[in-house]
Amino acid sequence: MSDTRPLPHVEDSFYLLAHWEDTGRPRLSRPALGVGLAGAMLGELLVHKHIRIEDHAGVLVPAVRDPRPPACPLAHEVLDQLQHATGQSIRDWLDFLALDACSRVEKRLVRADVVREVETGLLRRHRVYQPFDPNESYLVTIRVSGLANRWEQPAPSDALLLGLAAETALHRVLIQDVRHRDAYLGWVRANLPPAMTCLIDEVRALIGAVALNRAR
Amino acid sequence: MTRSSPARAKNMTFALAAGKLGTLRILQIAASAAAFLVVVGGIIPSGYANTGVLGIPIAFVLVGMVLLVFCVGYNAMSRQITNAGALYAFISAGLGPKAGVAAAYVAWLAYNFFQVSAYGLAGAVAQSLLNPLLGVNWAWWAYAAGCCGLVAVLGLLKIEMNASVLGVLMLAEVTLIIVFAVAGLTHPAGGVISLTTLSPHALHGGGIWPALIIAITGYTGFEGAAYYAEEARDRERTVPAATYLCVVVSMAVYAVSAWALSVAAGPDQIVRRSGADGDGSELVFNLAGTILGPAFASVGHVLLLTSVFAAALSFHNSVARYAFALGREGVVPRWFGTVTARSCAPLWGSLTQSMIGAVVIAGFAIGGGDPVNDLFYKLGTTGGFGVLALLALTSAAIAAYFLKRDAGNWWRGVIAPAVSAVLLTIAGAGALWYFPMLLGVEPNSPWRWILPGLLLFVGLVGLVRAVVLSKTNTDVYARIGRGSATSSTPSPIGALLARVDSEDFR
Repeated sequence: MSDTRPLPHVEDSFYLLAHWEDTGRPRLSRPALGVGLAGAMLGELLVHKHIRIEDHAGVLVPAVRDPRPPACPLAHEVLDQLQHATGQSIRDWLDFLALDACSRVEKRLVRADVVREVETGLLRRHRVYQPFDPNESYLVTIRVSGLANRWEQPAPSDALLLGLAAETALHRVLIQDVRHRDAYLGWVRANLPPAMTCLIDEVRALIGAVALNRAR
Repeated sequence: MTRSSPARAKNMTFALAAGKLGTLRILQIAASAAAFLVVVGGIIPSGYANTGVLGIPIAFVLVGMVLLVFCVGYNAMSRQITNAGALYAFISAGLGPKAGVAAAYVAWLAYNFFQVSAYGLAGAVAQSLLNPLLGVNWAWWAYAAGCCGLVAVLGLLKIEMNASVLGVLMLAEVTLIIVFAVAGLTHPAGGVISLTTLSPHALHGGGIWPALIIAITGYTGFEGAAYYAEEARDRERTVPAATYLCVVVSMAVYAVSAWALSVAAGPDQIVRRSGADGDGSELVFNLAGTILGPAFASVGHVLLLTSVFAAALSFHNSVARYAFALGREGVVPRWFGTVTARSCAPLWGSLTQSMIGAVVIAGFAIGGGDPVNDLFYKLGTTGGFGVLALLALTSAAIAAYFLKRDAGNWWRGVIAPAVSAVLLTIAGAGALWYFPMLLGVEPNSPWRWILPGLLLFVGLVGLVRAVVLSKTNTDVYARIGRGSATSSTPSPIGALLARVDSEDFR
């Protein structure tokens, strides 16, 4: 595939991947989606070197590396939040950002005319965000699963997306063959930059907490 | 439970604190596994019938007191270590990972016994309640299989019984038990309120040991409060308060209702009427029906069914979570640590538990075992014996943990856990000696060794697994007991971070 278009934001790709392309119904539980999107938000800043991860006596803490505002308004907002509350662990940031990550990304996708809000259910009480063009959503799956099929080294943002998908069990959507999937994701993971590995580890831990906890 | 939006929250700490569990909610979660009506309607009559021991009420008081001492150290430890498999994590921290893994395997089997045993009671109660209503003659195992299927689906969808519904049902159960207890005590058999079952003499002839196991089986679930320490509003106060409350409320409910049952049936008749030749598991409802009218008995039946279903679902989710936590730590195969995408439920933990439930129900159906006396009672009390052993080991581990460190408060850290370790070990040893009496089998029955032997066997399997891990996978071994909510990848994060600043992203 020789697509030269810039890669979409990881949050957007993750959101589209986490929903059925034609109906917009979720493939992922809402808390896990929140954690994955929170990971994508911090990961975007990491990929574009706006932040780094520091070890504060065994606690992993995100620290601002480049305070210049990112082009993306959502990344700008998150960076702003990080600048105003320093010293919190990555785990706390993921937990905190996960609280409203879904609605923030949904708003952005609505503004960008990627999805539209549709009310569903018997009493029209449920809202889903249906893609205007299901092909746009399929493209995310095709692009990332294509990387796996060709055993290509992914770009950092796609590596992040693959890591997040693996931790939230979305990798089953991307790569059907179990052995190939495990081998490829293991290879991608082994080649992740260290800070990204730490971030994915924290996402994994939080997904574990979601699975174990009753409050979520 | 909804969590407040950060936009509305004043700061991060405030936002993250919203949606945490309070004392009553944690108490409710723990008590849903303890299932008051299941104990009063199922375990207590089965205990009277199988052991022939009259001192069940006093046994509940004795065990409750020991558990209150146990809770002192347990709560002190839960302030130090947060883990969804608290008992095994505490044992790992105090006695080392090998003992921890062995304990984890025993805990898994013991809670499994509880979970599958609930299907026996559910099947029997549903049969007696629904067959006349539906005009059918279905076997108990058909209802048990239906219950197992429903639990399997709800478990995979991570659907728990709604907190409010559970709260109302629990309140109704306790109200019903109180009404029954008052009615039983005001309508004593023979016209005299007998104190026979409250006398220490009621535990003579070795009867104390099986009675203690029956009591501990009833209390099981109280330890669950510590599993939710991470979600607690105030870990320092919420979890201890919920744990103590659970033990005290259970002690009052069980001791009084076991006594009231013996008073209403008559101490000389309670053993016969609790058995299969008497009223069996219907004893409470038959007595209630006689004293308070048939409508009361019908409501009791419905509540017992909902209670046993809630207990089955609660234990299913607990066991599935346990398997998930162990899978994430690498103590059992890692695929146990996978989640479902749609519900984020422990996938293989839940599926495996459902398969075990189905196989056990099929085994008892084919083998012709009694759903209440064999499946519910014998497996349940064996699970109780396993939990007793775990509690004894946990107490020893807590004392060892605080001995190695600055205990701060010696009573909490060392003395109370040591006292409870000794008392629980004596209870466990006595119960093992009198296991035939507990099960209601002949002294030379192989089941007296097979059932506790299974617990020992899986404990040894766990020990071997830990030894293998210590030789072959030191990363996993070093992380045992640290919790599945911690990052569980083998890569040492500290070593990785040493390279963070020096490396770019391409």
